[in-house]
Amino acid sequence: MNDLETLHDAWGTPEAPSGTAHAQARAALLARATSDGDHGHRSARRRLRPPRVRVRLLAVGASALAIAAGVTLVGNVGGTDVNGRPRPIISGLPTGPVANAAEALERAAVAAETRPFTAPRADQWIYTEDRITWSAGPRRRAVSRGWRRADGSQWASIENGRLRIWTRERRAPSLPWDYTTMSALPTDPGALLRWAYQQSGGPGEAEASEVYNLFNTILRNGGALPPRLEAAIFRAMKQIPGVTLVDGTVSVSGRPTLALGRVQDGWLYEQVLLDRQTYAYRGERSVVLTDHNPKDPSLEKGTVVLGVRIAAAIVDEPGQRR
Amino acid sequence: MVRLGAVTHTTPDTDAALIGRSWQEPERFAAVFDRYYAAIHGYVSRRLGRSLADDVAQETFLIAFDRRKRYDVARSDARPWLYGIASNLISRHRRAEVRQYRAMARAGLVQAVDGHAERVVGRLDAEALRGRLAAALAAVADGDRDVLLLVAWAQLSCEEAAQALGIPAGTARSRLHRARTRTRAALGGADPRSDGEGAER
Repeated sequence: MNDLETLHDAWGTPEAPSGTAHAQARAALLARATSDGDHGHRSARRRLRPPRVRVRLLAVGASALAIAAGVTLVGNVGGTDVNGRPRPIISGLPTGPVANAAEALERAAVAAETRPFTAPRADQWIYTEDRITWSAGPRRRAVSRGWRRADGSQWASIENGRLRIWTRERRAPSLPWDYTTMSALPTDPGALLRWAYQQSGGPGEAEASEVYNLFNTILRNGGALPPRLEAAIFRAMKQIPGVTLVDGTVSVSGRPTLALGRVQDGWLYEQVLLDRQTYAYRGERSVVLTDHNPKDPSLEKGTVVLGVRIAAAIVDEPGQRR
Repeated sequence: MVRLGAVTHTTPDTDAALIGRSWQEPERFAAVFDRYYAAIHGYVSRRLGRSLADDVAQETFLIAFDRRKRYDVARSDARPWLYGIASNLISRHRRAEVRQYRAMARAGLVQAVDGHAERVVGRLDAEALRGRLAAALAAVADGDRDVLLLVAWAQLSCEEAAQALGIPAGTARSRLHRARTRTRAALGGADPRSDGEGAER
């Protein structure tokens, strides 16, 4: 027996995971897979504007509110929101087209900073609704709805038409998942970037990719992000090498949208979508640049996965949408 | 539209195929979980103890799910990838890990000293042996230990361990060598090169 075998055998066979741990881990995974109500470097989902702006949402605040405001603005610049209230014009935002990703991100940061915001209470829930579309593959369209409690202790999703609530029994995961964790992140762009690089380092992946994905994830999860954090994310993103502006505009639900992002691992262009007028975060898009897996049509060159946030709101109970 | 997905059902899915399909059918990722959860949990459990293992194993699959689109589907076996994610999470608990080895080392020592020799001798030896190895593990450099344990406990090849940790194969080999020098010393053996076993795995 060599030393490696000795080392192996000396510890004996590890005890099987407890049924509870197993069930909980599987449920957590399925919850994420079916609702994507969690965080994730998922190509589809993120925050966006509610089509019908929710009064409550606006009243309660949240960056969801910011989005709501942004969205309404687009359709109604300088006019009133759906509730008939006058809308503020975003001050400090130049109106001309942006020349590059850094410029777009800076405007997004300024826009984020100027949004009104009221933090959710720990016992409130952040609801997000996203529409995901695929340009190829067996599944073309999905809507996901998820609720995350602000303190991160629970989340909820719709499964088979029924609301299911999951309890996170242990401490928060290592990546920012809930409002409480996110609101504790640095709001200085440099400090935030350093933090992100510390967190990154996924095995075998370039750090910049990880950092970009991490920011993407936070934006996606942040149905309610503190404005200073959101601004810091945009400004930190400017400093990630390889972040480029996509030429022209993307039409998202018929509205002009800017896309900027990073080509990850040489084949997947992961983009953040920003409203062309308000610079509010509108979602995410992934474009497959080269055939990656000959056996999987979802990875065919040209495949586009689009995730648009339809709604984001702070609510008192899971299951509530406004 | 005829999709290759329908065709691939004729053969058992490779990990890569499952992961590739889970991009569009996220629920499919559950199959990856079902294949490897117990193994990942066991590995983490050895390194960090059971209670942390519950958390870390769960988080490993959540992270893997989130990164599934970036999985290199040219690699049919997902284990190096999953163990890599787990290793990264484990590295956030270095102190807990080392504390555990030290505790084992002490326990081994106690057993060896006051051990009831009458008790099952083999067991006693095993505990003492484990204590010595645990002391070595506590002393090994973090990066070296990652490679060593991926090879000895997760049963990856040295090449796969390199892949898992995102380091060059040569680096993994030298780390493994350094770590094995320690464990051998703990076992009272010689340098791994000296007996011709150094090249295995």
